[in-house]
Amino acid sequence: MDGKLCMICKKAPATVKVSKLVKGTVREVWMCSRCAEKRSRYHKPITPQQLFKTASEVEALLHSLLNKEGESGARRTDDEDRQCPTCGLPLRTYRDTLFLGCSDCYEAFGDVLTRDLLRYHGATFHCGRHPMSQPETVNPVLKLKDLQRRLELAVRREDFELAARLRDEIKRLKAQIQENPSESAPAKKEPS
Amino acid sequence: MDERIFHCDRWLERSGPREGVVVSTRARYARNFPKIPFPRRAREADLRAVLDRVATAVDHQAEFAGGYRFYMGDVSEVERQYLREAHLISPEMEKMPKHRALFLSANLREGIMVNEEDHLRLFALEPGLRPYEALHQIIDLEFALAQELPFAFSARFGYLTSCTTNTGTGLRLSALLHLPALSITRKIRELLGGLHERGMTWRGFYGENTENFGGFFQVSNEVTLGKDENQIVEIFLNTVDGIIEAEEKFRQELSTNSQVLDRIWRAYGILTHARLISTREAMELLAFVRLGVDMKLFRQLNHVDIHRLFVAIQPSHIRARLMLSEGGREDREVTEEERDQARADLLRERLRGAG
Repeated sequence: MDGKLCMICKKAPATVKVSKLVKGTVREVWMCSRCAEKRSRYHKPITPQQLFKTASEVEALLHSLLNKEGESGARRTDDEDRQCPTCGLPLRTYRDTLFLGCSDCYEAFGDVLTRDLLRYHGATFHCGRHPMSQPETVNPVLKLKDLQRRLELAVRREDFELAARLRDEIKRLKAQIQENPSESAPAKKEPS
Repeated sequence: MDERIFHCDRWLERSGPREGVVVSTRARYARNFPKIPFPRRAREADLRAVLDRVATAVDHQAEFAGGYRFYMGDVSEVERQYLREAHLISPEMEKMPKHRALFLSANLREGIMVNEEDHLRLFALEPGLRPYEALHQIIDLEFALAQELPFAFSARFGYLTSCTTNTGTGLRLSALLHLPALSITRKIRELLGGLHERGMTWRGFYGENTENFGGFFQVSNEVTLGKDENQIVEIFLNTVDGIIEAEEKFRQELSTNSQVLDRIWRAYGILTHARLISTREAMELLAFVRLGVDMKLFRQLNHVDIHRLFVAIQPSHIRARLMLSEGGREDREVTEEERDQARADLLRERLRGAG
C-alpha cells in the first residue's frame, strides 16, 4: 500500500482495496477512502437508517441503551447476578461461552441478546418458517430458476443427458406451479 | 460390531449435479424443546427424557421405518468414529456419547442427531449441489415431527437454539467444495475472504492449512436470523455458483499445465503401487486423482468412486474392515502398520486399471 495512489482519482493515497468477483476473476482496485465511498457499496459510511431496518429494532436497541445508562455502575453488579429463572444460567456464563441454558434464557436476557444478535446477524427479528407453516413454504418459482440455470450450463457443456433430465424436471415443476398458483406466491414472512 | 454399519456409507453412492467441484450439500435445522435445559446444561434425566420423546416421534415416521438407530452410549468407539468419518455425526457427539443418538432414515438421505448442541439436529445429505432438495427434506421432516413435538419458538427471535449463531431459522446450508485449482494458484483466501459480506462463511474441511491438503473447503451460511429459508438458499446458491465458476476457469488454465498433469499422474502411480500408506498421504494423492477425474484423464473412474474411497480409507473404516474380516472381534488390536497396509491394498484394488 506504501506510496500507492488511488486508481480512480489518481490524487489521494490509496487506503482501501476493493476486490470484486467478476465472471470468475478476482479484480482488485486500490482507492482512496473518498472514491471508495462513491464506488463500492461496502465502503459507504453507515447511516442510522441502514443500521436499524425497522422501527422496532430501534426501539429494542434504545430500550437496552436506556437501561444501561442511568445507573451504569449499579447495573454492572446487577448484571453479575442476573440469572435465567428457569434453568439458573448466570448471564456472565452466557457472556463467557455464548451458549444459552434453555429456551427461556431468550426472554430473561432479551436486552443483551438483542444487541448480540444484531451484531452477528444484522437483524433482531425472525422471518421464515414458524410452527404453523405448511411444508410448501419453499418457493417453487425460485427452484424453477435454479433448474433453468443448471439447464443452461448443461447445454453449454454439451452434457445432453443431464440437459434432457433437467428439461423434464422443469416441465413437471411448471405444470405443478400452474396447477397450484397460490403455492408459488412468495412465502409469508411475518409470523403471526 | 454389526455389519449394518457399512450400510451407512450408502449415501455416498449417488451422483449429483456439479459434482466436479461440489462433493455434497447438507442442510440442517436446529430445534429444541421449550423449558428443558439445552444439552450442554441438561441433567442426565433431561437428556434421557428428550431422547425418549424423540425416539417415540421417530417411530411414527414412515421414512424411518427400517432405518438405523445408533444410541451412542451403546455403540463401540470404533463405530462412533466410523459414523464421524462418514460425516453422519459430529466430533462432539463422538466424544460425549452418553444419552446421545443418531437416527437415520431407511434411504439414508436424512437423519436426526439427538442431544448434540441442540436437542434435535435434523439433517439431509445430498451428493453434489442440491440445496433445494436437501432443504425440502428437512422441512418435510420438521413438519412431520412438529405434529407431535413442541419446538421452542418465539415470534420475535424465531426458533430458539443453544447458541445465538443459530437463532431464527436454525438453518445451516453447507457445501463441501473441492477447490484444487484455486488452491494451487493461491486465489483461494482472496475469494473466500469476501464471503463474510454476504452472510456466508467457510472453513477448511480437513483441519487447518487445507490448501496443502487436497483443497477441500466447507462453505455455509452464517446468518440465520432476519432472512427466510428462500433468501438463505438464494444467497447460498449464488455464492457457490460464483466459486464454482472461478474454480472451473482456473482448472481450464491448469488442464494443459505439465507440472499439474505430472502431479496427478504421480499421485495415481503411488496410489496404485504403494504397499503402505497413511491416511494423510492417501487423501492428498486422492485429491489430485479427483482433479484428474474431472479432467477426464481416468475414463474408468468417476467422482462417486473417489468420494467413497476418501471415506473408506479413514482410520476407523479400515479398522472396521479388518475386524469384520475376522468375524467382528472388537478386542483385536490393529497396529498402525496393519492399517497402512490394508489401506494400500484397498487403494490398489479399487484404482488399478483406471489409468
